[in-house]
Amino acid sequence: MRWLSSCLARRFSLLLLVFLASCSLLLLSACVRGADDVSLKVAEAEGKVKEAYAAVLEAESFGANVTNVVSGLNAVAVLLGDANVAFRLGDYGNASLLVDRCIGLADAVVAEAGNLKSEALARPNALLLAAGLSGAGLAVLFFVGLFGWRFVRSRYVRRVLKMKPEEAVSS
Amino acid sequence: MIGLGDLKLVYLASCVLLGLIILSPTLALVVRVPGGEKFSELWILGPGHMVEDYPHNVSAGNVYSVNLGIGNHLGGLKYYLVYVKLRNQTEPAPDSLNGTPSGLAPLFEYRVFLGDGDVWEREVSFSFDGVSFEGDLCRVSKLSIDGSAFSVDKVAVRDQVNNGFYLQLFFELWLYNATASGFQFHDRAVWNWLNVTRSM
Repeated sequence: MRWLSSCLARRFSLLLLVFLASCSLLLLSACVRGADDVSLKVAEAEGKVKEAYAAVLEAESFGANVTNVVSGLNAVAVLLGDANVAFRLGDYGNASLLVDRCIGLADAVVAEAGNLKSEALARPNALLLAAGLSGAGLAVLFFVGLFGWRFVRSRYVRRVLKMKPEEAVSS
Repeated sequence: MIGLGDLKLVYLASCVLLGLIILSPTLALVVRVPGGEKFSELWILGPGHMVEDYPHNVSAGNVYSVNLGIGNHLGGLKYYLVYVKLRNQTEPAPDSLNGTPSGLAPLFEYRVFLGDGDVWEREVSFSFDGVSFEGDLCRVSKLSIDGSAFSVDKVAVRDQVNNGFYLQLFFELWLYNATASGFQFHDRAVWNWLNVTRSM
């Protein structure tokens, strides 16, 4: 009887050991997988921020006023920085939360930059407008200058003809 | 009285001057005046935003602060990253001659987008915890930056010349390179030597 109970106790302790080892392995793998998942999400957020930056630069190159969208870009950058810090500290839950917010905001920035670019494209090109106005101005100047010169010359000739010859007085 | 030839010259000069005035808005858009030197600034200031009162003698449990700043003079919107690192006297520092960063892992980071001519400044608070002294050694196990506590496990050997246990809190500036699609060390770093002392 005693032999049976000691045998059962040994088996039970062995089973408990195996159970504990499996649990800790499962926990470890879940933790590692959690870290890997968050690491992938952080990398995705990094990509989104770069995409948002490229979109803002493109909108700016088309002459859009990007002041407001840059503040959105900075909010995205702060979230990404905080997510990286949380990840380094092993706070994967918070890191994941921050990354989700960062991705959402980065998408909004990309959309806003796209709108600004479209608006900038719809506006008449400043260079073309200035060149057109300058061209028209030069044409007007040319014709006005031509007629103006005729007027100035005829006025000058009239003034010369009205002048009386003066006699030189010899001393 | 002025001659007809001279009058013609004056008239022509006036027309040319008027033409240039009409053309000036277009010329302003086309002709690019070369800008000045392109560079970025990185600085730390004391708590009063002055080059004074930097934290020097620090002890466990007290909160200290410096003001970290970045200035963009690169001629466009730029994406900056500042890494905050801690080292003792034997660990690698950023090398300004070779333009290489310190090989130490960053603890904290700040990311910011700055337009040309814009500056960014913010307060960085830090404190030490888990400080112990054993003879000529000082061990620091925790550094908190802006409320986030990091395990650092740094050992500072007593500096016989300056009489203290010195650790360096330093900030490295990195700049995003769109071509390489990654951050590159921008060859700028600022630091503050801290003498870790026993708590009073």
